[in-house]
Amino acid sequence: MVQQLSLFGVIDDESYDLFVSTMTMSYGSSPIIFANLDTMWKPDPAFEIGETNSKNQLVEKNRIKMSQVLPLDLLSKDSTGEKTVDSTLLKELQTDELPIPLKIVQHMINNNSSDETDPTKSTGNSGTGFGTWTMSISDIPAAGSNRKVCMQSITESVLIDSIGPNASTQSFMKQLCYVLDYLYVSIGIRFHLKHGLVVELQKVWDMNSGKQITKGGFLIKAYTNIKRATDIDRLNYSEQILLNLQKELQGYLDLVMADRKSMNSKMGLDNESL
Amino acid sequence: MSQEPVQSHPKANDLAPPDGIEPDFSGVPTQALDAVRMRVAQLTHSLRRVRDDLSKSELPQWYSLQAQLNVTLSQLMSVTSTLEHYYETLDSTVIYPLPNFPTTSHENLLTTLLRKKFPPDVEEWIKVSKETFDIPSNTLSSEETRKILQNDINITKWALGIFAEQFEKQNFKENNDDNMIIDSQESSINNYKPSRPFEADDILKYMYCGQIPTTSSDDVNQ
Repeated sequence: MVQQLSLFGVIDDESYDLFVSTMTMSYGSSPIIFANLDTMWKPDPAFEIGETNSKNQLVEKNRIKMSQVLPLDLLSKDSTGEKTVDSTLLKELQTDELPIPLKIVQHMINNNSSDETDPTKSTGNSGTGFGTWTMSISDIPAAGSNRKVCMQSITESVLIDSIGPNASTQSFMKQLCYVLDYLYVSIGIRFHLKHGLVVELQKVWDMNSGKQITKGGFLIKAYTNIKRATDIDRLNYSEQILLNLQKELQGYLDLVMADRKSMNSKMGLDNESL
Repeated sequence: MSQEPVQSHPKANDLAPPDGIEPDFSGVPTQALDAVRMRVAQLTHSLRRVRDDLSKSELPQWYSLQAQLNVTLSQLMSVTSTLEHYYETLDSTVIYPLPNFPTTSHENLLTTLLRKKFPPDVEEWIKVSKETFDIPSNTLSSEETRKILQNDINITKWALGIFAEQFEKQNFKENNDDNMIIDSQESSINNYKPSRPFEADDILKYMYCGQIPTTSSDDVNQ
């Protein structure tokens, strides 16, 4: 379980170049491009899951996030694959158009499924099919009125492989009584700064609707992870580092603490949500 | 100074000389002397403070010492300017003891008071400082001294000008609004701030619970 301290910001598409050069020059760290497929799973509604909402106890259903790295050569529009993928790629991805075909994504989730119509299945894509998934469950960020950064505890695990007949991520999650809720692709760049500080700049596409959620801009997340919640010294130190970054960038970019409710992946109680 | 021996030493006479001659104080440049005396008193006081501060086992903070020295220097300046102001009066004043001054019993005091040259230790200081500044004390004519001083003033002026110029350039504390208006290209860079096409919270809401932001989808529909 890690504690993640974070701050968020937003910039528009036109500011991308300036932001990249600002970060590169100010912190001496070059951008690293990344692309993730993030799938959110929810408890199977076919089961009646007991919930408790008594005075001292609140049991809510929580989503699980499964993420996998997308191979970058999938993103390149150039089919020959000769063009190197670098941070300029993000400038081309400003439309609603999905950066990668939905079929490939589906295949990644159900890679051992018997869906023979899947064209990608037979074409050597098996190497990227059932890759390593990162499984994470995040708690609602810590409450408190005098908090300056967002603090969220995240439990993570890694799913390397799943075996058995018809093994797939889908079937694995099914065994856990989880079904797919929604999925999105996030593509962005990441700067690794000193003191374990990471600044991420990303665009997000909703795969179901095929729309870009971050249309016209980028979501910026500056975060640092701390292994133990009891390491108060480290927590304070890291918070100070994040605040220093916020101070350094102020006037250009406003890094703010997100609303803790918007970072809550719990589903709420059934009688409330209905 | 000419007043003092009269007042302090022959007390028994009660300011009235035995031979009945009334001393005439009208020629004494009281105003000039008082002005100089006051400033010299201030200067000696602050010099003493500097000396005491420096002789302490624990040195004072550099900024307090600097402030102290600044005060001392300005007092020195005011002494010199006062002396300059009353130069003619003081230069033409001749002091002498009154006839009733007990010259025999206070000979040492008298010679000190009437001395026109610097005391030997002061002369030593002047010599040392001249040597420190590489000025050949004996061979230098007053014309050459003036030239050196003028040169020094010129260098100081130049340094001050450069300093002020650089200080203005490096002055980050003040908001350089004026400069921005003049230099429009620079202002467009300095004032540039990325716009926010959406709220981070909305995106996070989607990433954590799948709520598609309404504003974003509205934009898409348009």
